[in-house]
Amino acid sequence: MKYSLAIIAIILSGLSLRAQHVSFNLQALPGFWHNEALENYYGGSAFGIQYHQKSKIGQWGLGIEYRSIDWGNQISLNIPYTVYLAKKNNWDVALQCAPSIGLALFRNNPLLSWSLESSAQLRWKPQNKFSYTLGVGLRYSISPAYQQYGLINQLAETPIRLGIQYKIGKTKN
Amino acid sequence: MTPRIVYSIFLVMLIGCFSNCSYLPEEIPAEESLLIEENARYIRMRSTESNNSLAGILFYPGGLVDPHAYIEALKALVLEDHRTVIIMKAPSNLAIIRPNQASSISKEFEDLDQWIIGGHSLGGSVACIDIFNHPDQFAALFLLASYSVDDLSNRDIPMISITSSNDLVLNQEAFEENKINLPEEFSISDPSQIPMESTRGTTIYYSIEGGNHAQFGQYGPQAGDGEADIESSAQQALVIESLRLFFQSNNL
Repeated sequence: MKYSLAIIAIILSGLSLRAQHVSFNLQALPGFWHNEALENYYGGSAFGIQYHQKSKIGQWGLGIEYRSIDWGNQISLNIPYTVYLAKKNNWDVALQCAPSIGLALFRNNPLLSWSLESSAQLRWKPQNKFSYTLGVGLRYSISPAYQQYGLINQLAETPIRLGIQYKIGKTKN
Repeated sequence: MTPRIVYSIFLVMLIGCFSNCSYLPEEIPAEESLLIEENARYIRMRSTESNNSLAGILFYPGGLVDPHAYIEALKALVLEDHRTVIIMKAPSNLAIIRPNQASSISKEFEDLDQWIIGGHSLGGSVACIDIFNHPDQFAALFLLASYSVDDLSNRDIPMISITSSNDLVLNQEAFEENKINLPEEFSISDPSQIPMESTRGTTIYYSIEGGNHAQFGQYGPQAGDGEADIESSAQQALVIESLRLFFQSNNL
């Protein structure tokens, strides 16, 4: 566990002042799976922080997320990549893809989990350092080792995200 | 806002996250005759010989304990007594987030007429909240290392409270103070002392000698708990024996 924390801290420290934006996201996670029958459910909520760094055609980022999930609580490290599809005045529309790797939080024996999320985001940028996002997406999550304990160790979700972004540097959006 | 503030938020978040670790089950029984179904809200256990004329059991797990950790502890009620047992699931493994889930789920099983509600630790207190909010839906209550913070003293259903002598997790002071919220006390020192007649209007109190808090489930040692002088299988057998006699006395 302590090694995982050290790795996360080292990666985050590498970004430091070069990061352009930091965003705080809240997500509601309704989902569905096919077990014995197709079922839907409300999987809880998530809270995350992401750094974003501008690249030639989009933004790379690095984030950490804490969430409740069918097997309890989970913390994960994600690498979002955002591509802007349209920009107009104070608005833009983006697609974000975010693979993540994490730990299902079990005492003495945290279990590896990973997920892949793709989402569409609408961002509103008033004339200040803050911008606001609303997004919907599709996410697949799995914790392979949890199969030893429960019948449900993978699921699909349709996350609904509310986010606030804060611009750190002076570069344009 | 500086990166230092972001780092601070990140660290607070990380510390908060890791204090919410759950306990995993030690082992999951693999028995052909034990049929387990699971969805986002519950784990349902039944056997090929389930008897729907017997009351079903709705069980709230302890806080931050994986619900599968109670399969082993409760399976005798399914395999030997042929009851249906349903273990609640909740976000973050905290039953308090869904305090009325058992009453809601009980309505989905029309083939069962009667339900007994119970729980371990925080789950027991949540069972009491559910029964407080839905007084006509449950035929009996059983608490494992738990107490009620709601006033159930006038509820005309049988109740049993089972604790253990080496439990250092249960707040004994709060346990004693909250006895006032349950019907009149009737203490026993052995399951065989459970009266063979209806126990409505009383709460049977039984403390298992040598048991501890964590051994009511099957998830290994719990932080802050006392050391047990008996095996978890022995503690769970005493729980099952007590519940079995309690159910029989009350025709459930």
